[in-house]
Amino acid sequence: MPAERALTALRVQVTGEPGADALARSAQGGDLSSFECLVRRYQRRVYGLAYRHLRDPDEAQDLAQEVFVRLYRNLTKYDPERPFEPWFWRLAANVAASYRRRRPAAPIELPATTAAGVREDTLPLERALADLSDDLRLPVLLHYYLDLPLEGVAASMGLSLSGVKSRLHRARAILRRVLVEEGV
Amino acid sequence: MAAICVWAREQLEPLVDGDLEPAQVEVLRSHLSQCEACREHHAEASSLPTRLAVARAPEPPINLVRDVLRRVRADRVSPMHVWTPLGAELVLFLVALWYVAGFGGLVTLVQRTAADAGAVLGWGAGQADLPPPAAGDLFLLLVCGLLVATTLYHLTLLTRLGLRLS
Repeated sequence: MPAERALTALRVQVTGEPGADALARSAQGGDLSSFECLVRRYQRRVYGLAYRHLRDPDEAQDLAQEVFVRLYRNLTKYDPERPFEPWFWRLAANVAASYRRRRPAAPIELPATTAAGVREDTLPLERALADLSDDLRLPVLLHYYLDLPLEGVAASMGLSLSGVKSRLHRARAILRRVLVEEGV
Repeated sequence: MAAICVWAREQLEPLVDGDLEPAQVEVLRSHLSQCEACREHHAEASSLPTRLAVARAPEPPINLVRDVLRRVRADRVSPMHVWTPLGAELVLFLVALWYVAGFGGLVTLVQRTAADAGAVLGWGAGQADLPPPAAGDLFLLLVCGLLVATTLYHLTLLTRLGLRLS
């Protein structure tokens, strides 16, 4: 993800493409093509977050759509004086958390065959991640998968910095124990 | 499992993140040098952040952008949709006035309103007394009040939907 971010920054410099903040300001003014650019720019990361959060490709697609539709509806609340990404990931985290709360309680198993593009050797980790409770999984996804700084995770989840660290430590300890037991 | 192992394994993530005091680090390192099982846990704890960061999710579906835009377009409200009721309100307002007072009544209303406004301004400037309430048509007043309220509601709607206007 840091590589992806660096590439995006480089692309902005080389091609003169507007940054996310400029696109968000433009979309806020009602420009649908800027909004489309934002969706294209963030779709991979949003879908990745949704997939890791829900473990189901169809539901992940639904959640990713929901995140972007909520982004559109809430653009009027975005403060253009502030950076777009922390605000956006906070919104995405809230939508993801509430989406999962609305789902039926029955756990959904990982598909027997791996979805295209998922490396086989990540599966044990993916399963262990899937078994974490929501309040532990979401900080892990935000920090490690989306590469948000701890402060960003704290802001996104309405937690203190120490609260985020504590959850990350607990989550990683659980994952570590599972992976050691499985001998991965 | 020995108590020191239980303690050591609870400290592995803080150790990896550099959150332990030097004295704790020293005790932990000393234990790790002697305990193979805890070393295995430490190795896993050390590699986990990187493994989490490089784990990939599947590619997003190719129709994701299209579906989002379709939902967003359906969400947008055309200006015509918002302004049409306002036009209807205006027509209704004029019809109500005409019905109650006829064309002459409309002219009288405008003249009386202008005269009242002038009198109020004169009263504000201390040049005249406050004008008495017009011998009014309460029904007309009620209709006007309702239409003003409806118009304000529409303006609120316009403000709220500002971004979603196409």
